[in-house]
Amino acid sequence: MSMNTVITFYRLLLCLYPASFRESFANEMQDTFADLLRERQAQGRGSMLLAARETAILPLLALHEHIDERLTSMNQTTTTNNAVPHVLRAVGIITTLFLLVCSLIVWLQFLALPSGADVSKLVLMIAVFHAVMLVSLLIAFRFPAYGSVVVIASAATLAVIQFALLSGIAVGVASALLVGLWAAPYIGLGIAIRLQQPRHAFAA
Amino acid sequence: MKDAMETSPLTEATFFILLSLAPGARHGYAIIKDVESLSEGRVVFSTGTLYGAIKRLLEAGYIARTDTQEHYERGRKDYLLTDLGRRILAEEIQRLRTLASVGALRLQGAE
Repeated sequence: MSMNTVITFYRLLLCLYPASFRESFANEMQDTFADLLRERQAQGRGSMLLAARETAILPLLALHEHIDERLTSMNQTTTTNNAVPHVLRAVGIITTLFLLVCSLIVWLQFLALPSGADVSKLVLMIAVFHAVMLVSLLIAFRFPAYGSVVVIASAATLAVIQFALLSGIAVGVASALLVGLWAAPYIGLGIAIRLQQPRHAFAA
Repeated sequence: MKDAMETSPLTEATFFILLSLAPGARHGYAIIKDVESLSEGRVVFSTGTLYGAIKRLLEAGYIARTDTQEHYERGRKDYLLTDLGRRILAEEIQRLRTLASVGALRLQGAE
């Protein structure tokens, strides 16, 4: 893969950042990334490794900037109308429930799964589904009017798929618990994004 | 009243960025290289992490952005420490110094 292709891909990923952040920093970030890449290439040490590291982490950092921007604007609103910080609450719930899901996977591995079942596939499936939901959240923050529909629909669809796949390898109650814990925070966040929007947003 | 960021200990990323800018203005690439050298290769910022931190430091008023003639053609910006940022850095260094001396005393006492 040529260096120009990598830089173009990096530039595309920068589109995931909030508009205000892009306006202030996108050109500089691209220049800095290109300089780092050139330096690594000149030294003949791991330029592709650097590219992989930078591009892998960028979507998560973009999501962080979206949340940061949303929280900042909500804090400004809160001082005037004392609104409930829905997004803040939802992020807290996601973090807590993510830990619960991890515990449940450990429990499934040692107690509930039949012997010989491949738990790595379960972990991979949940990781992939989380990744899909992260992309859907980024879409939600970029296009808030339709964001809640995208988030809730994605979470519900993936939850159904997850339940169908899980019920083949785990007991019914455990499958339902895992799916519920996985989907609930995303659906909560979708509802929170919806509540942030004015009533006429969907009519626009 | 001081805000939370001003009264809390600095994060390692913030500390290294402020430390890197203490001698004078630098652009993003120079900050990454300087921090890597200051930390003896332990802290290597990704571009996303660096510019996220820079954004928050600009908002807090610890650093400021400046155009220099040298980088003007590339649209590159230099960042420099403000008086507030310099004061915060000095306070953090003093806090670490105190912590280090308390730690050293404790270790001596334990021997």
